[in-house]
Amino acid sequence: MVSEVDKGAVLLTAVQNGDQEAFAELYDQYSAAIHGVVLRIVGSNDMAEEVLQDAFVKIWRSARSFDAAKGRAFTWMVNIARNTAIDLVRTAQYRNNDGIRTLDKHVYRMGSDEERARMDHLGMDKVLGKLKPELREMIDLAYYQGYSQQEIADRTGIALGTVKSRTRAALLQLKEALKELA
Amino acid sequence: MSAAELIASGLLEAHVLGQTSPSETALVDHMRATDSSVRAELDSIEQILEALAMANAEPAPARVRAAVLASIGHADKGHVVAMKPGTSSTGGMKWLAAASVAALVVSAIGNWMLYSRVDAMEEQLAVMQNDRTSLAQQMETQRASLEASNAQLAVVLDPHVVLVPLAGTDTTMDAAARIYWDPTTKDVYLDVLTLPQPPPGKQYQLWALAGGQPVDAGMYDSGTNAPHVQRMKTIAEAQTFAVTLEDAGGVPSPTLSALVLMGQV
Repeated sequence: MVSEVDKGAVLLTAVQNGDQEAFAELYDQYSAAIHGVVLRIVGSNDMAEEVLQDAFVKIWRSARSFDAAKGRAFTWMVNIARNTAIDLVRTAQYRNNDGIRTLDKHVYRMGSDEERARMDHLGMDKVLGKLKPELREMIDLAYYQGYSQQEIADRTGIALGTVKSRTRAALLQLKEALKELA
Repeated sequence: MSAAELIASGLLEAHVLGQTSPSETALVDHMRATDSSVRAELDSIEQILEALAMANAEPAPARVRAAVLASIGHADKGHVVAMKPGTSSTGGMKWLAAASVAALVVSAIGNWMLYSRVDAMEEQLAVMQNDRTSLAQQMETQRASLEASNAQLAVVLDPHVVLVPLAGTDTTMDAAARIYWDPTTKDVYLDVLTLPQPPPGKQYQLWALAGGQPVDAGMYDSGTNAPHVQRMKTIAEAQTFAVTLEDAGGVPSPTLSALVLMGQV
């Protein structure tokens, strides 16, 4: 993948100086992609909207902590949204189940049946569906459920070294799948 | 760790996925700053996940954009779809707002009611599961008891089985028991009818006498939960059965002065 110029970083730098127009542009450029990620994490339209709004307000407030030398703008922004979404899901799960049940299958569990059916028809399977199930699981658990590699090893019974190599393999396969799509 | 080792380790992927510890993050940041191949690899991983998100983009409703921009104090221009003249009026908007609030209240009440119902049902389910477990336990107890009774009945009804009544001696006139003995299978059952509770540390012991020689036929359990018919040791040959009161656990040969019951085959 050829390195692209990070437009987001340019916009975020402007936002660091209080540029509201740049922030609106940032929202227009990236909110749909971030919303897609959040929707997959929380599985419910209402919760996804809440998280998206919350995340963008956080992006505005903490824009100054973005450092273009440490990564791309999208990565920084989507991680704020992911953390917000995962926190919300875990809190909701904890309240609903008195903390007894584990979080393992929450990704598809929060929304209604219709919403879940719709999720399956989203582009999710178009790209992620091309991954081998054991590789896709790594992306699911890490990216959409927020587990550390050690936690993934513990809950799946897969050796930590295998979790690491599978995660790497998953990213490489994802790259191929995205190329085919383009 | 060399740059190539770091790239192959999977740590860079973990870092972009937000899985690294603070010390690992510091290592990755350091390598990114100092090594161009690490920087390029990280950029590539970030772009993969960015492209995945773009491919799965899902536009959010316009109200989210409006709420976000309002909360940062942005006077929203652009990107707002102009309303057709005359389609909107302040009155209409007020009515819509009121309707939304009403819908929200109804929905909240509905959620609350649904939540209470689920709560109550979960409680009921727990109670029912408890009941079921205790019923299953009761049934198991009954089944074991029935099985024991059937086994006893089978012994009594078996035509090969010899019934030997045991009677008390001069000092134990009230004691009474029966032996069911099957000489073909050598099984011996002791059925106690009346026998005083042995004093602490003592236990009734059954003997079989063949050719004048006593053979230990086992100890009788007088515990409160023990069945009154008990299977004893197998005996091949016997003319007489006798019960003595011995030290708990039994003795190798009977104490004649402690004879409690006796009966001829």
